[in-house]
Amino acid sequence: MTADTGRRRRWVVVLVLAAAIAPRLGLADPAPAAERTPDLDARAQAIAARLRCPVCQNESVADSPAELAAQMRAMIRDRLAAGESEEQIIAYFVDRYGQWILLEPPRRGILWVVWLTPAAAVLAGAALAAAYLRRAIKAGAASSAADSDSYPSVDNPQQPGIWGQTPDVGRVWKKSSDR
Amino acid sequence: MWLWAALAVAVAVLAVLGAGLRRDPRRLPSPLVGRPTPAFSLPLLNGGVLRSEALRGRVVVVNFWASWCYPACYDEAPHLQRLWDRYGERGVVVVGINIQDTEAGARAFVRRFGQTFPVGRDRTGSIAIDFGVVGVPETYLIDRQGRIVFKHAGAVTEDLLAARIEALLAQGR
Repeated sequence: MTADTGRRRRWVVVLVLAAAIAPRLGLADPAPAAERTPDLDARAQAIAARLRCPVCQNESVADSPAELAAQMRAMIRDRLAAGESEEQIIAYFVDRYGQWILLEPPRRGILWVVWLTPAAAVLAGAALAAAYLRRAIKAGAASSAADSDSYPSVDNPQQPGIWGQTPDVGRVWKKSSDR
Repeated sequence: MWLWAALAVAVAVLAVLGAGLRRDPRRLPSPLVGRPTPAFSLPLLNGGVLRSEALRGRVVVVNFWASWCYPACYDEAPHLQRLWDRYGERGVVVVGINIQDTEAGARAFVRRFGQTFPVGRDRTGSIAIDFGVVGVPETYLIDRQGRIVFKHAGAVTEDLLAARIEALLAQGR
């Protein structure tokens, strides 16, 4: 593997990850609200799904059987019928209940931390794993250059394998084979 | 070195998440405190409609309750009646707004506690949602200028509100 193909492959991985994450972040262009849901009930349901039911624990207004949630759904339908937009209705609920009412934190300011931390953690974990594997493979290659029998075995337990030095297991084997 | 940095970040994130777990998810600051009271018109149990404009210039206690809300609503009911008895003639109005309830349940509750202040039913819940009500009971204190100055979630007591009402009455008229 040349350095060039390695770099190209790395870019492919980054692009695939980015493509998987981008729609979640809303970076992909959303269709205009009117086109997406022409039907009033479906639009009301979509708005209700973005709101937290105040009397429940972690349930949306759309999913909750609570009476307050039902009243909120009715209010959303009324407001849609009166010609309000999705964002106006969401803004009304935020105005009365605070940002807490939103099931998904808005993507702006300090709240980006909430959105980016999981992705950053996944990338950091992948980078750590890649660095570890690369080092292990390099160590394996170096030892195979010195000794053609590169894998640890009963006969040759001290050879470092892919996980580096294989210590105790080999020693026990050696002891038993000595006996 | 890198590993230690990653570990430090991970510990920091966990600490933030852990601190979040220790907070009471039901203790919410109302964004309405300090703002004008949402306008409402409340159909009263014994006929007539109470409009919020009619309360301008008065100190008002707005209490959201339900007859199934036991024990908190039952605990606070006598306190609200005592506040009405004590401050009614000084211009203070106690308003009971019954939500998520049946007509019969609401009437039985009012009879049981001999409540004489205006009580009405918010059948569609639109008044409650306008106030950002999360549960019952919830009580809002409104000053003479029509601003919400205090919100309490859970049962109120006479003492809790009396001190605040006195302060609002003392602010010129």
